Amino acid sequence: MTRASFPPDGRDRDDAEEIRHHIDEKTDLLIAMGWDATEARREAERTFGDVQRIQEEMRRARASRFASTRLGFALRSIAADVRHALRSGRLTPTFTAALVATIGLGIGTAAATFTVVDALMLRPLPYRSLDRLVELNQASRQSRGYTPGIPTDRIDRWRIRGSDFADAWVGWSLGTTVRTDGPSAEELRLVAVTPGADTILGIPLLMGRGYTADDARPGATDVAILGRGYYERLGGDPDILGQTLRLESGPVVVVGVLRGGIRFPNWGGETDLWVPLRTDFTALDRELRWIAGFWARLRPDVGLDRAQARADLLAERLQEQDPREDGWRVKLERLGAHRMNAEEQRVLWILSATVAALFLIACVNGINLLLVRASARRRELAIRLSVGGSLPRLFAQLLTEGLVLGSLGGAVGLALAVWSVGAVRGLVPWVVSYSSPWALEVDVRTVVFVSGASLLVGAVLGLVPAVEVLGRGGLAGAVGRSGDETVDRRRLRNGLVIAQVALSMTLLVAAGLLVRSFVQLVRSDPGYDYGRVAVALIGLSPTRYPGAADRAAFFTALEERLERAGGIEAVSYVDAPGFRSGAALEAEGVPIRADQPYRIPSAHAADDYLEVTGTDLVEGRGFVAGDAEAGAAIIDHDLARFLWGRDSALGRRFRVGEQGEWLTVVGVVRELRLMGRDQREGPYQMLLPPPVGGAGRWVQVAVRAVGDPRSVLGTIRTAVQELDPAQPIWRLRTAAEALAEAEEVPRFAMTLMAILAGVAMTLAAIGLYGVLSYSVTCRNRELGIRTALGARRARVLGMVISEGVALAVVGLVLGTCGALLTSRALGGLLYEVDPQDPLTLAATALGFLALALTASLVPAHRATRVDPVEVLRAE
Amino acid sequence: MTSNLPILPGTMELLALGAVVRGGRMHGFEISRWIDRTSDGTLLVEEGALYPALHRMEKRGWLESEWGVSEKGRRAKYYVATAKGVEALSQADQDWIRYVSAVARVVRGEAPA
Repeated sequence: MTRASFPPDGRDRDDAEEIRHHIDEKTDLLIAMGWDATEARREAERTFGDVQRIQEEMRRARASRFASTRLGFALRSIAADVRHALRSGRLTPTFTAALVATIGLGIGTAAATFTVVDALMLRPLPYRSLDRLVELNQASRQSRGYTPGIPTDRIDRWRIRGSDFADAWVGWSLGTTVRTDGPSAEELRLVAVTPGADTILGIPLLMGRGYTADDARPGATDVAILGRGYYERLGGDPDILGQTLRLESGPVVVVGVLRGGIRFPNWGGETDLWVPLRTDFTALDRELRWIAGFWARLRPDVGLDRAQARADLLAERLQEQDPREDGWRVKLERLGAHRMNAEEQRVLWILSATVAALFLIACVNGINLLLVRASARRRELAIRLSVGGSLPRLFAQLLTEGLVLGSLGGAVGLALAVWSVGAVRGLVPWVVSYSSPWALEVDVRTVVFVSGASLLVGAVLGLVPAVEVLGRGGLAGAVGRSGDETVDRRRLRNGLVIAQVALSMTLLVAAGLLVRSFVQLVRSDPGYDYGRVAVALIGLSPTRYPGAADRAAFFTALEERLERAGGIEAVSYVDAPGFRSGAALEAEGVPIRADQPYRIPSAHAADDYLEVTGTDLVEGRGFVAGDAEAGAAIIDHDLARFLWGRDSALGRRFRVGEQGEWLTVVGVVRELRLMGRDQREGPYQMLLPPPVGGAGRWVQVAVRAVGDPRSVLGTIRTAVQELDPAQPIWRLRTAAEALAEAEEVPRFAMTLMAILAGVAMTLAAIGLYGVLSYSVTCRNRELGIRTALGARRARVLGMVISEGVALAVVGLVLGTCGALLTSRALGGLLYEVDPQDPLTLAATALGFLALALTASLVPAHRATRVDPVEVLRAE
Repeated sequence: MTSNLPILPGTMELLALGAVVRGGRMHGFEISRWIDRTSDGTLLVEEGALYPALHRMEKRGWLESEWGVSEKGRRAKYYVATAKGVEALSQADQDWIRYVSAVARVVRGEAPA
């Protein structure tokens, strides 16, 4: 028993001194009776009793009435235990730091992942009467609660005729607009929404008001509600209401500010402006022909099934009366029913499972470290127990120690979670972030999660060593000697290390597979020679460039300007988002397939687009003059294979929709990833010749530089600015960067998995190191004797290392089995990599073995420095 | 050692108070020795249990304590009995005698005196 275990209170110190005096006197007495000095002290300590319990009784004897009650006593002893735990933490800073870091890593990564999964998948959408809100999706389509291409005038027909099953309706559309009265033209994200959406959905306002039916009447003053983020960016002016912003469409009056926290679902980022969707289906002078989402709130007495039946009936009736319904069949689904597609969900579940495993590893590691220390304290505990210390009391103390460590780890973990959620936010692919209107940030739920996890870890950390040391007569024989350990105990610790290595190995293999798959994806020939290409996405304002000819004129002028500028070899463009959609994708002479895509994202490309962007042709040619009239098309390899299998597609004809014109394939390209993914339908698959004498609103300008494409980014920006100072560029980057975006989901999965696996591996290495170090300490005597008997350094070194490597190998074998069993779950995420890829398995195992070797080296080296003389003297 | 008797719960205070009242100013170890000697080694005292008892009585005002230096030159805490303590002892002594004789009568089957 050391003095350091007495609480640092003045009177407590007096008590301690009084006790020490007694023991000293008793020892003297025994020595005078002929006892050996060491034995005398031990006997004096034994006959005195459990010092800590007696001290507590002394304290209690002195204490106030409350403190001497049962509760008061309990509280005081808990406080003493916490003090004791903190103090022993201070006494062994390295050990405590390692332990707290281990737990913190485990809790932190778990909390960060929980926050992401919670915001995107677990939490119900934050809308009022959520159980009555439904999406009106197209019956034939798997949608994401995002039904592109519903004609706006359908809103009214359904609102009026569908009032027998729904009492409120929300239609919304996403877009962008340009603000012109700022320091520079600024592109803003926009939601146009039917009036009343804020009340129906219960989206709170910070100030001002929502839209009324008057705001939606044709000819009313344009009004806007600011998103909280944009309001803050503007400086958070408290007098913002009634102020006017100049947009490209004209002035709008600010009537409200959203409180934030809860958002309308949108892609990436936050919405800057809300504007009313008018009854004449315009927003900010822009005609809206399509809306993006159409929601209804069911009447309280109408269930989903009944509503669906009525909606079917209504669709049929509207069909008969109104040809504009053109066969629309609606499927009512709970709001948020398709928050993510299967791939994205799988990514999140795999991440969750990974984090659970990581958490387990951290716990096991913590337990192992504590066990090592608990063994070292066995003598202390044994003495206290044998002289009448109460078992529950010691138990409570170990438990408190665990809880204190757990809480410290939790605090570290929370800090880590706050930091990493911020870091992860930018990585979350937009499709995933679109699935939830919750902001991705650490909030109360995360804190609750962390507290729960800390308590759990703390309890486990306290209980396992307590049971291990105090239970099973574990202290028998521990009084006299320290150092040597029993086989049982050693087996338990080794088992824990093996479990850690096995789990880490499983995770590492999963991460390895994802990394390899990602490398494969990036390395796979994208079909581009894009090294010198830069691309700029420009969306022309519909007010200043109303006609196709105006837009074409802008792009022609831009092309000329760029071609005159230095450092640029060639310029081309592709007229971006467009669909070829229809109920039937039909290859001439081939029966229509059931699994065909509904929409084929397509674009109009200038004649030289393939050449300028360096797109590889699998077969055929690029566009030439006259192709537009001839109905020529260039399709990607996947579409060609879908329509005609292995046969050549050249010269074949197909059409999209029964009324669509027949298109003739003149060329097949590997893929069109450079154009980005269409936000709803995935990668572009079809190029069409440019429409004669016109251009769409969104155009991607592709520029082939003479040298580094970065050098022409500035040139492009200047050229656009000179041509029209009010015209922003939506996205300007090199082709390499644009291509990287197509890999968002795999990159997300891979990056997080790699980080988590790295953490797991580090923890496993720490565990291995800890156990070996302890084993060396325990075997000091044996090693000393061996050295004294002439064992060589190399032999001792080899002994310790082989112990570590043996543990690692057993773990690796088990981990490989685990990996083989679990990697199947990754199947769908892997790109041209076998889930049981032997190369990944072998590489991971070797890497791990190297790590195990390194972790064994330090303790092994220490083992060789054991001084036999010292060891034998200590005997 | 077989003749040692574990002391009854609650007796510790009585023993310690008795020692201090009869033996005068003593430190804890001396008190425990006093009890051991006086009882002729019959009472098996968990030595540590003495101290909470001393502190309880001090709190009650039966004892007073002060730090001093022992014959061996060690710092030690000395206890003396207060008047209240002497009073309490005589009361406890009577109670104790009544208690013991009551128990003895029952055990031996004697009639009340």
